[in-house]
Amino acid sequence: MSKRFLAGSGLLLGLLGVLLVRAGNPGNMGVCVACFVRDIAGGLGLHRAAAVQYLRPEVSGFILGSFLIALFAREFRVRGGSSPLPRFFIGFAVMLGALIFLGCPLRMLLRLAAGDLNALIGLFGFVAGIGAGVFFLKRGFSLGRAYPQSAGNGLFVPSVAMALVLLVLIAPAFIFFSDSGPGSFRAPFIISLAAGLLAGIVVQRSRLCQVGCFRDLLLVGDPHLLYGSLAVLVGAFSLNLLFGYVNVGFAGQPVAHTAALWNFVGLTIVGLGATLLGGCPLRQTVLAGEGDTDAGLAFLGMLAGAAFAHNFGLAASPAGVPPAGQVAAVLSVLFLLGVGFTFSGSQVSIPARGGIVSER
Amino acid sequence: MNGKPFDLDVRGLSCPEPVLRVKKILDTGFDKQLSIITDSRVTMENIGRLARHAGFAFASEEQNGQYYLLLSKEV
Repeated sequence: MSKRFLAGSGLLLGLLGVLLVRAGNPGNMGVCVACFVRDIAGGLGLHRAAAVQYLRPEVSGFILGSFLIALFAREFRVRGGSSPLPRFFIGFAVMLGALIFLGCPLRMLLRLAAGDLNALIGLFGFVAGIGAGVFFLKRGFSLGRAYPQSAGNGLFVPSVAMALVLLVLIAPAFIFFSDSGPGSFRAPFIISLAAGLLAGIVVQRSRLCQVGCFRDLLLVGDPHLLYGSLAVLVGAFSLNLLFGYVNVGFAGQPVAHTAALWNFVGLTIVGLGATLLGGCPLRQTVLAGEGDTDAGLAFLGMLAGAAFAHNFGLAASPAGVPPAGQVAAVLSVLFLLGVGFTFSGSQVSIPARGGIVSER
Repeated sequence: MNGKPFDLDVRGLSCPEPVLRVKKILDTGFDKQLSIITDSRVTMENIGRLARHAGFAFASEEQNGQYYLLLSKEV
């Protein structure tokens, strides 16, 4: 995809990220995969943190938008089998890290674009985590190959997304809706869904990825994906200026805490875990829509991680990171390092000229 | 698998492994050309970008959802 399209899609994502706040979403949280998957876990009653329960239609939109455009562009390829179970647990750890920081890498950019300097600390941690991931990639880290699967496999995640949309609309008694707290701040349903669909379509086409941007830069010196992330910043910052949302500083930022160490560590976990997965939480969600069942497992791991984080008091809040969350963060780092070493093995050998190389 | 022969098979590998494997070969040098097979359009685009940045000629051809890529040294 061209640089211009990538930058355009980043710009659109940045604009949507602020417009959705304007339309009712929580502060600096117009779009956030981690926060919204956490809210979905709450909406389904998988955790009972009353302040963060809502089946965010944006996430369903990401998946369905990606699904539809992939079908249309003949890129819907159902595949899987690249270490599905490890991917589930890496997704789980990524979510714990994101909920320690309070946001996925996309929300990190949106927070930065509104002057939240805690996100700058997070950015340093994020790059450090990606650096660690690059270390493993250079040592030959691989979760193995995915193989083509029958089409039915690729319909599960989009069906779940569709079911979530219907559940918001029907709102049966067993679905939770926050009355107060971040979960109660929501843009009108149709706006959320439309924005999610649009973002899913555009990100599927542009391959925008917040992890890929630093990874490719560190690994092969390729700044291509960086243009997308910079464009998110530019788009969000300009609208934040227009709406008067810019507030530079550490204290008093919306849905954020000032524990610098944990902001750093939280996004280190996300950076490392997402590098091992091959993409940021948004990218995983979009891949899950276009038939990548391994990414689907990572998505479900994030959902489980979110439920776990709130059931066991691990997630951060504006008050800070609880001790149990700090322990979970350290364990997540150790787990990801373990995965990194375990799956780093022999690299591909240089092929004999004209010969067919097979390995792994 | 019918189709053309190839030197390197990066089918089914997650980002950025295909690019990394190609880069390793480019860095260590190879004779005249390198043929690669992938099943992902994204991988095809990424390898194309790498090849052009490194000053190699790049050609790709799709056959039944498989992409055959050819990198060659520009004279």
